[in-house]
Amino acid sequence: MVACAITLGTSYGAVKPSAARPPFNPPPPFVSGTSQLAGPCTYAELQGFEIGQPFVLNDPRSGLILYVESDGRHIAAITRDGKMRWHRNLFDDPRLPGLFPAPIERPAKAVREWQQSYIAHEAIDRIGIETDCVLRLRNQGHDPARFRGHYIRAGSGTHITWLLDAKTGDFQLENIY
Amino acid sequence: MRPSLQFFPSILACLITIGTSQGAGTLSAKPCSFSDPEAFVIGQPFLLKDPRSGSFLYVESDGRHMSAIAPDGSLLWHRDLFGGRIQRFFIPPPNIEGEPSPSPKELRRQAQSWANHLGIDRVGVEPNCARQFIDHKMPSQFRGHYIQAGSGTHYGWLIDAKMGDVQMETTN
Repeated sequence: MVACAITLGTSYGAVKPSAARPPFNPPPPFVSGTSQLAGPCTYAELQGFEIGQPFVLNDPRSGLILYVESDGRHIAAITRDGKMRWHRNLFDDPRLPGLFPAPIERPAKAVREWQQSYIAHEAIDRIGIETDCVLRLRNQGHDPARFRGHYIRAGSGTHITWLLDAKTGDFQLENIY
Repeated sequence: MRPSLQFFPSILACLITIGTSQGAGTLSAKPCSFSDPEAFVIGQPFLLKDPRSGSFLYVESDGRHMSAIAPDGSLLWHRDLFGGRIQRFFIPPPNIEGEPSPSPKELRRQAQSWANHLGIDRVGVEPNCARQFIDHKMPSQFRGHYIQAGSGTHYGWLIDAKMGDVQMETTN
């Protein structure tokens, strides 16, 4: 959206850059980490855990304790002085079931039921902190108002991964295979 | 569970009265009341800070699972509060005259169903004065980090914050 707005603004000339304000330089396109950074940059190694067991992750950037409930669907953030900052159900997205096509052709109602059942049985089973080098690249491509750099990645089975902001609890689907 | 525990609050009140009226040095002169557990919405989690053990007690959003988290972020314990042998606290419905008594298998099924539907909706830290009395009455696995929890209007539970052990405290 940001890139789109920038393109529209410059091509139509509707917005003249102020003399006081420095010209906006759009970020470079996303390329592999090695071309922009000194060393190789890899994604976080997600730590897997047993389904049916909770998991606690200490986020060094936000200082929060992230608690994955034993149902594998809810995550809460706890401050060091014992307050709950946020609580989210990562599967609470009405669009999520629609992203999984039914394996065989069925009536529309049966497909919806299959999709809902499929999502109802999914659970978070791995979580990890994004490395700092990935963080710099991600900051260029995400909405800065929602994602403020405290990036956590969580995954469910082999199909779904999310990107979360540990401080705000905002999340978005990252990959669906 | 011993039947006398169901009437424990009234016993406690009596003991306090005797203690203050007779001036026995072992009891506090101030009245001792049980904690008022903080209620929370079913389906939402709840976090309680236990001042005695220093850990955070997290009630999961299903109302059944509880975890203790140390301030450094390590998981101390995690329990299904109503798993294990919680069925032993099941009180079967009174037998109606003329009706056949439920079979042992049916009673086990009822107990399991009762246990499956339990969930806590309020939790609080027991005050130190109440702790003194509870220590004399509870089994040895309870080590004094007492948390009071409740399910609906009928059941009260006592939880040890350090170990995660659960005991029924009251039934109405």
